[in-house]
Amino acid sequence: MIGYYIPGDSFIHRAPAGFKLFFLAAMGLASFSLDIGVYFGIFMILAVLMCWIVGLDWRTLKRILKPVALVLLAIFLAHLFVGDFFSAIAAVIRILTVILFATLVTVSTHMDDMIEVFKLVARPLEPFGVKPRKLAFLLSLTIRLIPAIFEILAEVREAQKSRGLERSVFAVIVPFMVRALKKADALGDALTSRRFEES
Amino acid sequence: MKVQFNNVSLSFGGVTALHQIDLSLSEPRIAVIGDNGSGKSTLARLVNGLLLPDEGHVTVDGLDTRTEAPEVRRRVGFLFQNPDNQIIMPTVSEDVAFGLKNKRISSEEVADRVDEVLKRFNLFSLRNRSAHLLSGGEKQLLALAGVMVMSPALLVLDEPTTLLDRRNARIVTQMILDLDVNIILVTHHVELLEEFERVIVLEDGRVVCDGPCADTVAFYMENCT
Repeated sequence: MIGYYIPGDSFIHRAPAGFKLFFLAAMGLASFSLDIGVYFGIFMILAVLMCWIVGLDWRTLKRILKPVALVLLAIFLAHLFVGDFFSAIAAVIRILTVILFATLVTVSTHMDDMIEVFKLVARPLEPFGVKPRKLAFLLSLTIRLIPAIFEILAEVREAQKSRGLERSVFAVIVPFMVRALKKADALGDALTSRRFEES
Repeated sequence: MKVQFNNVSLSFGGVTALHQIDLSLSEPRIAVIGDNGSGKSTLARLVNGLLLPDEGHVTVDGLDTRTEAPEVRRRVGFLFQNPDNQIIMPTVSEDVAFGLKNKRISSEEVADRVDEVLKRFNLFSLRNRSAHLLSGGEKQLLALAGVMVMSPALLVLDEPTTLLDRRNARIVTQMILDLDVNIILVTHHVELLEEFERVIVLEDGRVVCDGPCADTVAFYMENCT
């Protein structure tokens, strides 16, 4: 879902992109430096409330969290193994909170606005030969492509499941890599034919 | 607008995709038909320099695609088979504006031209929608709008209706036929070609028939399918 845009007119949609990115960075930093009680009490409620305000419903949220559920489980088990139950819960909530805030920013911000912010940030690099617009666009494109990559992975897994190969890592990874590379190739052609080189 | 293929050959990994092609294309509506692997898409991609020939030259209004590709692409728009590969920005209006913003024209002019094109392709009411949540037909119209907003003199279309159902294929085809630009259409759908002045049939990387629609389609139906 990261990379999709949900149209709306909420105050989160209207907030400047730079402020939202700063807010995301601040929340990320706070999530990893504050006490667990604060998460449950404030951050988690804030994240869920903001999800509701931008129009993210429960079904959509489930779709967002499904691909990362296994990663969260692995993190939980790893922390359980080296620490205790509460540190494992804290680690999962930290990551979950940041994922929710990151999703909020991307679904409520036009990519053009995000590009403008990245351009401003990259401007000091201009004397070193960096083109701020190109760099900003590539950063934004990376965010945009995350759902496309997840879609490819889901399609490959579904196809291999129908052949009874869902447990074979090799059977999923190889076609996934081939399709992801083909997608990158096609995107390169599209950028060329839409004259990105002139920017 | 004249596209010239001079003794053009191209191979991929030892397999010849096109073999010594000589063509002069200047008719307003030209179609290229042929079976899978006959070289149709390769020929289309050579026109705007997405591919370069191993041998020979491709020129557009006298501009060589090898040495003057950016200038060629200003004249030639390209529509891909799969709109998901062509749509770059997340929302409908942002995607149509993408090419214009690369030209660095004023934001007011960008907005005006985007609105005008969105209305023309019946996409104005969807302008703030997420591009990847559109239907297949709407996506292909969006991809077409993103090309046409750049005002190309020639539009190359690589099987634009192949992934669409019959209804959407008809809508997209009608939009294409209503365009006021020269067209080179690569397709399997011979029933769409009635209004085309010239049809070229490719087989195994060679031109096997070239002429008016009725004759070439009849040849294709008889010999190539």
